[in-house]
Amino acid sequence: MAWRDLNRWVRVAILAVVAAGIVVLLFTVVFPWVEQYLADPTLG
Amino acid sequence: MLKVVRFTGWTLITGGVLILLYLVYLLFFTNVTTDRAQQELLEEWSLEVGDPGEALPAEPVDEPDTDVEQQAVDPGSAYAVMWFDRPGSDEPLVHADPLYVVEGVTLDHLKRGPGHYPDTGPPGTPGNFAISGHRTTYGAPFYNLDDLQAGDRVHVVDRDGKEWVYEVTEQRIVAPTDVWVLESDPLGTGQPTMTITTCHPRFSAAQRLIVFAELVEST
Repeated sequence: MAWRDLNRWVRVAILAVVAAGIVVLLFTVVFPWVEQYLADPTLG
Repeated sequence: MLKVVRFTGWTLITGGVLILLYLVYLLFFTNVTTDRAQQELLEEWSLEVGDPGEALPAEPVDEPDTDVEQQAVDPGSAYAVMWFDRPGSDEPLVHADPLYVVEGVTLDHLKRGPGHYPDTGPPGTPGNFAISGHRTTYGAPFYNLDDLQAGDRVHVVDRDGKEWVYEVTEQRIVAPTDVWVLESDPLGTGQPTMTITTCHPRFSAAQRLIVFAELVEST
């Protein structure tokens, strides 16, 4: 089934879940790593 | 050409969103981490030491106690509880709640709250008892540290349940390389000293705000 064939709200729900997953990944893995990599409390 | 412009535009938008999210992470999400850690430290303290409000009352000190033995504390574990007050005022000073201080000052330790510099002495002994904490991010325990004035009090309860009271003597702004503030007698007064360090100005790590205090009361 093509993406455009999906119900509008199903597409919105899928996008919302993907966006939430990306934010969780950023906040729990990527940003802590960036902070550690910078090795300094950037904002004090 | 249009594709290049579109790609550049989306790249810039994505970069901007990532930077904004990183700021949200630093300024808000890290507070959640520290609040949770402070709650854990409170529970750890209640189990192992007791209620900090029930510490033995402090009395004016003539001679510093040279017999105080420093309990070995695991890095990252609760080392002391501290709070601030201004004689004659009931308003909270610097921070609304008592701060649970951990042993150690690495990035990971300071995520849990203010940290005790392991190379400095315990509270109440001759020499320097030094604490570091974030000015912003991770609960921002020392966001308002610059509110302290000479004469304000810093209360510290150690793991033996003893309370030590230090009186603020002065504030200084120094470079991050000015590690002399952690020396045994940084001001050359010969008095038991407490040194509190944090970043300065707010939202920058370019300098350090230092508060010096002298021991005036002990249990």
